[in-house]
Amino acid sequence: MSSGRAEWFAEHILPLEPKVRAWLRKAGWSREEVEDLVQETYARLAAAWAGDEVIHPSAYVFATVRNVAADQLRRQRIVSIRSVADISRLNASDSEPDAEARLTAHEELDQLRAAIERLPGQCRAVFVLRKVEGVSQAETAQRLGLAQSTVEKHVARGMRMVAAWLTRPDDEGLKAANSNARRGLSRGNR
Amino acid sequence: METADRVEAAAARWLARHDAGPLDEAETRAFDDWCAGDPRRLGAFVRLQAVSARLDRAGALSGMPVRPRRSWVYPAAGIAAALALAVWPASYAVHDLLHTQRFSTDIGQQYRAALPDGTLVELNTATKVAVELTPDAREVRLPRGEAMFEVAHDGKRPFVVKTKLAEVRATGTVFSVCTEKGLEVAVREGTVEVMREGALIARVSAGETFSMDRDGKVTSHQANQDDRIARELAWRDGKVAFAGETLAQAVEELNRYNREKVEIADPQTAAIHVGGYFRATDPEGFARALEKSFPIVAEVADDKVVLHARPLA
Repeated sequence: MSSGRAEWFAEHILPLEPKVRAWLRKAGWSREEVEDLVQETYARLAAAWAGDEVIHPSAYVFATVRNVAADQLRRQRIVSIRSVADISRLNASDSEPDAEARLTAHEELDQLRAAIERLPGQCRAVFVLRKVEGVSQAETAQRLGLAQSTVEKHVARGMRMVAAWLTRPDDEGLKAANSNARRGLSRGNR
Repeated sequence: METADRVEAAAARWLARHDAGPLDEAETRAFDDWCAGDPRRLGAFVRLQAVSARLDRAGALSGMPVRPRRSWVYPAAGIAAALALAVWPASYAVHDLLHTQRFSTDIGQQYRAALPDGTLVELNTATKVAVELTPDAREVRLPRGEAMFEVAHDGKRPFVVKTKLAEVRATGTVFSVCTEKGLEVAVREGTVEVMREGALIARVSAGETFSMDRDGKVTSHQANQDDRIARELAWRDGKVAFAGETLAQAVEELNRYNREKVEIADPQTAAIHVGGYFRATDPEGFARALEKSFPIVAEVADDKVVLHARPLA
């Protein structure tokens, strides 16, 4: 099986997102600003993605985040005192997390199962069929007796929820998702 | 500015749409346009794509034979049965999409991207490309604008740039394709083939330029154009270069890069021949430089620069 961009992002970038968010928040960016910066960072990483292995994804990702944040500051016409402080913070290497966040296969599976389990009723059923059983959207609709447009809405909605649980370090949802996992989710989300 | 939350909501709808099956042409265009509207959109989409791919991994991981499957109580019986399958068929519908990368630039922007096969693509102003790499083909759609390709050699997988008018095929070459005035191809290294509906129209080699008008009629194919190619590729350094073009032509070229347009007020000014290198994104600087060399007065308004013939004293 060839490895595509989404798999690469799933494996190397997504696990780092909680740390990126925590780091940006610590540097004084607002919640809304962090959302913008995260999206912008993914855009840049996607554009630069060359399909090969990055030896230190963490260093690469944080370098990109730092550039995105610095560009954002440059774009802001009025540079506030806070922003000036941010630049020095972003350049301080001690605020950068160290090791890669790596989950074992067990932990990852627990985390994903917990996330699917947390989805509300119909949405959960859609995800189980689509993602776990691997049936097509059309067949999912048929099996559940739903319109395909409804299935599409569930996919869209569920994906956002799972994204939030997997990537927001300070989110209620993540804690809940984690505590639902049976055991051992000690690494990766701090 | 659109909030990140709205961007994400739209990205999720697109992801769900992609998840349903391949997009048709109109949808692909709509998706391209949506992506081009704000860089964060593609970012949000890629992020959700990664989440989706991670969920696909749940299927793959659970099928690993090394690990005894744990019992796991699921709230609904039907769902428990679904999860209890020892080997979950992995779902690869999402994969169709993964190999398409899209890049776009706004007016005045340029962008350089490395593709997974080692090819470098540079996008000039107001350009869109969609790249699809599969095991037997490398395909780039160029619906708008201009791009230069340094193609990594791969004899088994020709590299094809598709525009509205024709296809340009290469194996390992350096060339640029511009769709602004029909089709213009300039080759710096190697050879490319210009094809239409499977038929060879021209073979363009290093140092040659080739062009078609908007109706697809071949208008020129010239050799020994190294200087011209170098000038045409000046955009890669953020410049535009002229060597005897009329001011009307030069202004048309410069305006590709700027929202602040240059206008020419009279035919006499339009007919002046100009030369030299100018910064592509500085219409005012261009006008000031002209004022120094020619009987021209530049009038700078809010959103444009108008060039007049200087009145005789």
